[in-house]
Amino acid sequence: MKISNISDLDKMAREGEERLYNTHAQLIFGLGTCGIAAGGLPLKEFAENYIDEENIKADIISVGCIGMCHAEPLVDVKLPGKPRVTYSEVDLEKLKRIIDQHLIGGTPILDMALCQLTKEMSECEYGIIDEPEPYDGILTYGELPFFSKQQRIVLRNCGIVNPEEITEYVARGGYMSAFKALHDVARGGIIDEMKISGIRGRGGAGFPTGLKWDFCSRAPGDVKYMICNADEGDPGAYMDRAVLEGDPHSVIEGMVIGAYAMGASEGYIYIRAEYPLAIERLEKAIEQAERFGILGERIFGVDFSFRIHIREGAGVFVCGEETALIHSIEGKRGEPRPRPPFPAASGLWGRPTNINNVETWANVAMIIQRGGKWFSSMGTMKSPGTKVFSLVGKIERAGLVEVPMGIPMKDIIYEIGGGVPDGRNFKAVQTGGPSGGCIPAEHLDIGVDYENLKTLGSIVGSGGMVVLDEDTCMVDVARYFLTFTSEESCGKCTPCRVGTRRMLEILDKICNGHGEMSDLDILKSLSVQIRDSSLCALGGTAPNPVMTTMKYFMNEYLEHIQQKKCFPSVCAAMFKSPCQNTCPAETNVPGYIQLINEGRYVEAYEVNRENNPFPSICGRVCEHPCEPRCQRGQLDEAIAIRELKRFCSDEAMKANQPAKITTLDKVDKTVAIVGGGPSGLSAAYFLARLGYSPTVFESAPKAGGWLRYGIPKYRQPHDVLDKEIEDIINLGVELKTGIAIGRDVPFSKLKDEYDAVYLAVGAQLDKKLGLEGEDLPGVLPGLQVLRDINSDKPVAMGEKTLIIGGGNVAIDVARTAIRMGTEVTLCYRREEQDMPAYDEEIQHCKEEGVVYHFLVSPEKLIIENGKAVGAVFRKNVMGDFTKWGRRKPEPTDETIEVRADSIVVAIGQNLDGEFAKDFELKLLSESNLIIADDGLVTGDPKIFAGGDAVLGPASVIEAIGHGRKAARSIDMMLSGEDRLAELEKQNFKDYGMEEPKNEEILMRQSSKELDAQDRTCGFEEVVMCLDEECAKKEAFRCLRCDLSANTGGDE
Amino acid sequence: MPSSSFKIIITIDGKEIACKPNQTVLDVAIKNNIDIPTLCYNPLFSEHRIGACRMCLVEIMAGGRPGLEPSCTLPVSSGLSVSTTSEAVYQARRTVVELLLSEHVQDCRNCMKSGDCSFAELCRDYDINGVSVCAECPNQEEGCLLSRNVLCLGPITYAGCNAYCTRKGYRCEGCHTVMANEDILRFGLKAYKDQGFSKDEILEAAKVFSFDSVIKLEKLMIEEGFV
Repeated sequence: MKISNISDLDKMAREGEERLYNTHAQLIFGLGTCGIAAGGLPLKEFAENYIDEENIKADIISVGCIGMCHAEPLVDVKLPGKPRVTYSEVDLEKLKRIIDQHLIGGTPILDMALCQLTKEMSECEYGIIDEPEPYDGILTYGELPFFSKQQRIVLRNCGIVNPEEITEYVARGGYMSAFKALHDVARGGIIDEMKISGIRGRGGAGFPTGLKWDFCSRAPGDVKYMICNADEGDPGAYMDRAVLEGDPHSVIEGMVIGAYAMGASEGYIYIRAEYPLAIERLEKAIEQAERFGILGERIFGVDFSFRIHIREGAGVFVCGEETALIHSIEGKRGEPRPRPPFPAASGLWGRPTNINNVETWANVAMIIQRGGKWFSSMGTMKSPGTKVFSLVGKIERAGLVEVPMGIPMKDIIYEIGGGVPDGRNFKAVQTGGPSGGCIPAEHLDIGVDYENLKTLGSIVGSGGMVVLDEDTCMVDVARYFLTFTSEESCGKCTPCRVGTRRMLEILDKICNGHGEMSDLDILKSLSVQIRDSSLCALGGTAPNPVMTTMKYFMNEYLEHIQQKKCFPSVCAAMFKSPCQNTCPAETNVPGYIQLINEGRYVEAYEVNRENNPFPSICGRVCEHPCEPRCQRGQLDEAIAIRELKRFCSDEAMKANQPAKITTLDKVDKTVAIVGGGPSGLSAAYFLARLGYSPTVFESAPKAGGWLRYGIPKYRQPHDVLDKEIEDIINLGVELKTGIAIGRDVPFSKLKDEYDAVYLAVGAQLDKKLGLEGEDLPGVLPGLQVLRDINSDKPVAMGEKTLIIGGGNVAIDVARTAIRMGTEVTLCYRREEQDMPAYDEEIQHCKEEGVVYHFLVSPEKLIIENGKAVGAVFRKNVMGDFTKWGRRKPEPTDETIEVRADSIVVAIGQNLDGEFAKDFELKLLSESNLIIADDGLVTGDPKIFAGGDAVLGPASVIEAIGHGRKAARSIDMMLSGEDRLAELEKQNFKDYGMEEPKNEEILMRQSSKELDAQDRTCGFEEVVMCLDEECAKKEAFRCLRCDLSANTGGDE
Repeated sequence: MPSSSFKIIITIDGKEIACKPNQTVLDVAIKNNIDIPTLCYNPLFSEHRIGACRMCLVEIMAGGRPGLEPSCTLPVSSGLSVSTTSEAVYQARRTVVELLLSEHVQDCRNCMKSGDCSFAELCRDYDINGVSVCAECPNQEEGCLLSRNVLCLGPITYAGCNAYCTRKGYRCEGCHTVMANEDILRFGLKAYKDQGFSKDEILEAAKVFSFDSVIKLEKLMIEEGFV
């Protein structure tokens, strides 16, 4: 049947509507390539057999991708007159339940259902979804965060209609625009409408489409061609594929309208051969369109004919460039040529040709249907309309999203995408594929449109958005994209052919740890030259990934070149194992785990001591940055590295042998260390081993600093600390306690008497709330409380304690207060998952009976009789996301009042600025921290600084790492060589170097803990050591990344 | 279409020039003796211009989209103004030569283009230290001083002098110092070895170079199996 009048088309629409909404029960499978890859096909087969066997009256339908690729396979159930309900991540078992309970039984499974489709969610105006009564207890599509900010024009039918059924497309208003255009609109009128819409090419460059059409239609010549560019080659971009698989008719309709407007009779769709499903569906769609007279001779009975041919490309990236694409269709080698002449004047076989991207063509029908003005009302002034992005990478909800242009980047990443998974931090988003760039967190506020991204050095491109988290090495990202472009360079012009290869060689050199500073200059100038002098856009944009990473992540390049360090543990040539690379003290983790595995526990302890004088302490309180990086975590669970450290330390304590520590010969040089905390003592430890005579000045009566006066005893008993400090003293360290530099000994004296000074004074000043009455009795600073309790001074907490803050100090005070028998309430301004304290501590705290109030900010203190007796808090709600991915707490009208006998303020610490002034050092203006370079050298070359005084409140292991680094820098200054590395090599242990055979799933062993009731009656240690059997089991799990090249990185 | 008699005025380096439609900027420049270097352009195939080598880049100053364009494919249009000497043009062309040189097998002594090498000239024009004196020396095979048992330093010395001495029959004295690229040095040392020069003789001649260079040469000679 050929359609020649509107009633034919209407009839088709009725038929489609019948299929879409009014038939019997439907079971709908999302079978785009993503659905198939996730295992959708076996599900469909199962359903077909099951329905056959059980004789159920239901249709099984496959549709394209609706965009929620993270939730595939998707199965929807639509009962007549009821909303369509979507089930996500369906497996055979779930599918059987869905069929039994929902399809046959008629009741949706509330706990499994993801959402329901109750009303039209796209900009489609025809054949819209009838609005049935929603089911109770299931979210609607609009309520899902993934869809709430989307505006769907291009994806209007994707996942809704059966792509292989033309009537369903017609029912959704399809081919109405083409009919209207061919019958009622003058050719110029169509182009005018496109111009009014302001739509810009969605393939990447963003050239105004209306203008392009105008050029082509004005070009002289009888024969003209339409081309649809479906050669989607960017890594991480797949929106064209989704449109062609989910709604091929929308592209065909766009091309018919374009062909009519510009006077073409032949069209080509150039599509990658790697998209077999899209090709198959496209072929079916073309065949159907021809059957109904929508393609072919006398379309819609009008004197106009148009045919579409499919050309498969061999997957060459450069063939996405229009002149190369034309060459490829002509059967020539896919190489670009200089423009002008532009294809609009001389394109395919020398004839005027118009090339648009799939997404641009898919927009055309809607623009004609609803008018250019409607289209230009969306998006921004310069970039109207919507854009489909494929959101992939380290993102919670990966998928295809269509959003209005100008939407802030952070909305796409956090609200739609749900942010970065696994508690990792966001680092950058890569847009535009190999031609684009990386945008860092500080620019996430920008609205996404052509101009803004260009200012940042990136491009919109075809719309790929790859989210990168903290585990990504930006130098490696640049290298990855340059590998791609240098391989895909067609080799025609010199800058792109040779230049990209030279750049890649330099990046390889940097990633292999051989980079030099001059390489950065060469990279910079080569980037500019290649950008400006290449023949086509491939070369012209190839340096973008390098340029943007150098612009925003120069620090990572410098780390690779100067420190030969790849902190995210990606560039495998620079480190042995990710755990060792991540440890601030660079502990040989695989080494000591292997020794535990071999039953050599004391030696394991010695390996620990080589880099860290406090293994017993770190075995208990280390924040273990190594564990999240453990490669075993990708297989089953990370190794319990900290528990193993604790185990070998406890074994060594039991063995009670004098620890073997290598030392170098005595040197006649002295070093003063200010501060006897972990950082100062570590520096003393390493300096003493290097032969120096360090003197540690500590103002408190005993050494240990934060380890003694900060960490409560139930986490870390003091006898362990005393033992490890004693070992340090025995190396020949002089310890002077009770002496405050500046008060008892002037700083200038240190400078004169010692060859070097290391400042490890910590950050000991409690931050203040800034409220009236903070100095009155009843208000206690958090650190002060911990200090007093740990030095066994009486602290009056009263019966009720209120703690303000959510960090480690707040939690430590809370747990201590509980042990002193008071009722504890903890108030924090954000939500639980935002608390900066360690998760396990928060959990312990809860078990022990601390009451939490989240989302409250202190507003004023309640003062009675000259004493603070409570505080008034303003309730917050979580507001917009900040660009760092945390929601901002926004105050509400509500307040609450909490009364207490004592109020502990633990909202952070600062360095005592007054104290640091004596040193005449430069301080950071806001936080009063000392400024020191990578080698911890301050402005004065004799004075070094590290630990909290430089970092702000940091972890124990960071402080120890700084102590080690300072010792190394001091040694390098005094002796002129790097002797620490030499020293550490001396204590070589011969342990097993065979590849372990442990790739089966083995779950992590965990330590036993005291019951909550037993804990709170005293200060007994809560977490117990692993027993020997568990420890050996755990040690056996180590994959030994140090042995081979399987050190993670880019798989 | 405008008829071919229609004159178009374009500006090259500030000079107004009348030209015919269907001409490119390069055509006009050649006709008016304005120097634009080319590599992939071949006058025999002037209908088939591919704009690939990017050597003939000029900068559009007015009358077109600002930026660099290859003059061989840039059609003339009225109001077009280009520069063939701007800093951007110089740097872009220099990069092209440098990149091509980085891919080039620089065995200039055995190259039949030696003495008449437009690429060596480009290296000189764009101040790139890359090729040896042999690239500029016209004395091929039997004319080469080495084959007459004269220890000429040409094969290991940077070009740039247009082989002033060897053209006159004197040996190269190494004025422009020894080349840094080890691959090229190996080509030169191999030539010495084939002629039967000993290590000591070469080191004696190389005394004009810095001490470090002599050490490097000695190291390379040991690797190349000199006696």
